[in-house]
Amino acid sequence: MTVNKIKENEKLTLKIEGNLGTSTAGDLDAEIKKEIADVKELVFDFEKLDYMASAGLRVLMSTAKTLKKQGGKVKVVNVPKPVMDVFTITGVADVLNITAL
Amino acid sequence: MKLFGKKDKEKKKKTKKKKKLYHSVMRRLSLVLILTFILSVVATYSVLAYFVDMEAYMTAKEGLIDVLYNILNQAHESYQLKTMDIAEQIATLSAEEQMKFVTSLPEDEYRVCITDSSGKIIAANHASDFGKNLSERTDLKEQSLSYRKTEQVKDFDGITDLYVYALKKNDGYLVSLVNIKDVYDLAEKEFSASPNCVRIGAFGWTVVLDSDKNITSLVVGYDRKDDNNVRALADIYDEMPTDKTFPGLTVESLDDFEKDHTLECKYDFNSLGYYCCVRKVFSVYIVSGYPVFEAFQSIFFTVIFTVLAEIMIFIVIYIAMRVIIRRTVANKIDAVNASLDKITHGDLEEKVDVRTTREFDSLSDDINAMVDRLKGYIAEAEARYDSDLAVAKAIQTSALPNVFPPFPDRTEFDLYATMHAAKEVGGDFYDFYMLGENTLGFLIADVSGKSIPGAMFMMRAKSVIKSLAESGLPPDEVFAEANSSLCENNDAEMFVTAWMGYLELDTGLIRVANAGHNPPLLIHKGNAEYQVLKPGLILGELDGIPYKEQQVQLQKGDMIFLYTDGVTEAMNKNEKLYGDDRLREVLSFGKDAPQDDGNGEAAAVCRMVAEDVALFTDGAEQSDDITMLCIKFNGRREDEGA
Repeated sequence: MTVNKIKENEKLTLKIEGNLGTSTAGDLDAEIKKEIADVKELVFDFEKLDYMASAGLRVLMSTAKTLKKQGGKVKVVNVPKPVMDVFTITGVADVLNITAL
Repeated sequence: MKLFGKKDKEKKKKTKKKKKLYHSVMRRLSLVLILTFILSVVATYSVLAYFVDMEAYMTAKEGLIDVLYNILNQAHESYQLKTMDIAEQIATLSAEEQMKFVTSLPEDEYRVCITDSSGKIIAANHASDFGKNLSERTDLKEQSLSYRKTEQVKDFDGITDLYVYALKKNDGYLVSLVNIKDVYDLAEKEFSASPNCVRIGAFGWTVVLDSDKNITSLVVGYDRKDDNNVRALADIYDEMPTDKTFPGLTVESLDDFEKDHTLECKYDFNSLGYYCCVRKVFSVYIVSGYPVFEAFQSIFFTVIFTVLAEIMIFIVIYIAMRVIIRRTVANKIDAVNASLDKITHGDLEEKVDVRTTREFDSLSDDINAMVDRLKGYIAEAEARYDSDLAVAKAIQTSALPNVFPPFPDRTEFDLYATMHAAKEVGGDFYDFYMLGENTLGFLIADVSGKSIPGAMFMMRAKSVIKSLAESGLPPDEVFAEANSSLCENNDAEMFVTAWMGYLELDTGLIRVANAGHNPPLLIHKGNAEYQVLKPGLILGELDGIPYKEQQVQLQKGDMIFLYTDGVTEAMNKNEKLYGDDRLREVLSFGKDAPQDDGNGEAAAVCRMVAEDVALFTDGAEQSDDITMLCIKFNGRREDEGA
């Protein structure tokens, strides 16, 4: 899994490539924690994401909570179908700001 | 031979930016060596040049002195001849007549006397000399008749600076005593008349300058070493300055001369340089010149040889240093680095073993000790981690009901469930309980956390749901309240997906609450279909969310199969997922229901799926818990056997 970070002022875009599974979720979480301090808008670009397990979902939800606490918001864009299915099944599609691919 | 290693460019990219120790040292050493070499060449040259100077001036001076001696010798010869003349004149006389002759010589000339064999003057033209003994001042030895003596006497009877010219006679000596001044005067007269110049070396010369610094005419120049090597006047004259004068020799310095003082200087003419000695003699100046190029010619080969020898020495030193440094330092450090490289790339068994010097010995030991300590820490940490995992797994497994069949007297259904935990991940669970006579409550769930925290959350979720269900609430309200409860004190921000059903045993109706869990499959007459219900939000995420009760209807003989994503997201070695489709296909067994091995049909179905997943993953490591729960509905008691 690779994470491309693009930071513009208070907007942080994370392009995730590969698999967001049990092992890689921790890496993503660490990467986010490095930059999250002054971010008001965090965008997850899942265009190149192959697969997301519940651990990945957990990172997403936890990040959303953190952003909310510091007055920001999370957007998830370019979500491929398999990942969209997970969002739909778990019901978070209604909770997060998600745009399909 | 390369002074600065150009092979660096072929080395790893990593070392491109930093220079190698070896090359850094050699660069500095080369600089030092080159500087030292230059210094030593300069020093050698300066020393040699100094000595060349000294020698050259000495050579020039010798030439000058030769001329001086020539001058004086001529004067001495004259007086000797004069004395011999007198000797001849008195040779035929008797002793008495000789004495008379001498006594009657004029007084205003130089002194002449006859001495006896002991040196006592027995006749003299200066009466006062009579009776004095010359032997006090000079050594008159009894010699053959051809004995001649010329000697300077400092002081004789109050008279200073005399030259003595003595001839042996039959019984004594005939002696002329001449004042030095007179000797010089004669010398000057004769020299001025015919100055004799000498050649010095191959291209050196002496000349005589008059008081206007013009060259007086040269007679004959000859090589002082070899009288036969007579050089023509013309040759020497031609080599002299064009104007035949020496303008460079300043008048003042020439005139300031004491008689014995020799001026040494470098003088150039005809675009050549000469070492010159100048001396005032009488009223003229004798100048000797020795060419610089000739002086240096003699040391030319010495210089060449010395420089070459020094170059050789420095080359040898350089090569030796190169080899020594490479062997003792650079190679050893490379060896240490190579070992360290292996260690940093994970081979903690690698030992650094460079022991050529104390420093390397100590370095090797220190590094190895450090790596050992590191291994110890890693082992401890792994052990701790493993024990944590073991605890979590124990909690998880012990919490799940594992007695099958759980309700043997209830033949309306056949229930079976399994949970295979992955190493790191924990958190899947299932549960089932009778909620009253007619209702079987069952659920499957997947907690998002792992290890001990995950296991603890799982325990919490399971017991919260169970107690709410057993308190009589319908499934949707159970989830609503469980959600609230789990949202509290959820610092780790874990959540749980869950699918819960109340199976009415008389009707086959299942009342469902779904909190974000994978849709189960309903198997009807060997055909499996996903029961996709309205999605609900995962539990523990957002408080206050309402859940909606939904329904699934089972016919007699139907099976419902619940699972977690550990099944559908099982990966093989090519990172392909097992997938929803394959699960549906394997559960659509048609007429070939899996064989009941005595544990019931539900167990057989679970076993069949487990085997298919294992077939698919084919040895790849299990990354998530694989949990399934299967219920076969047999219908009401009364309908059995129908």
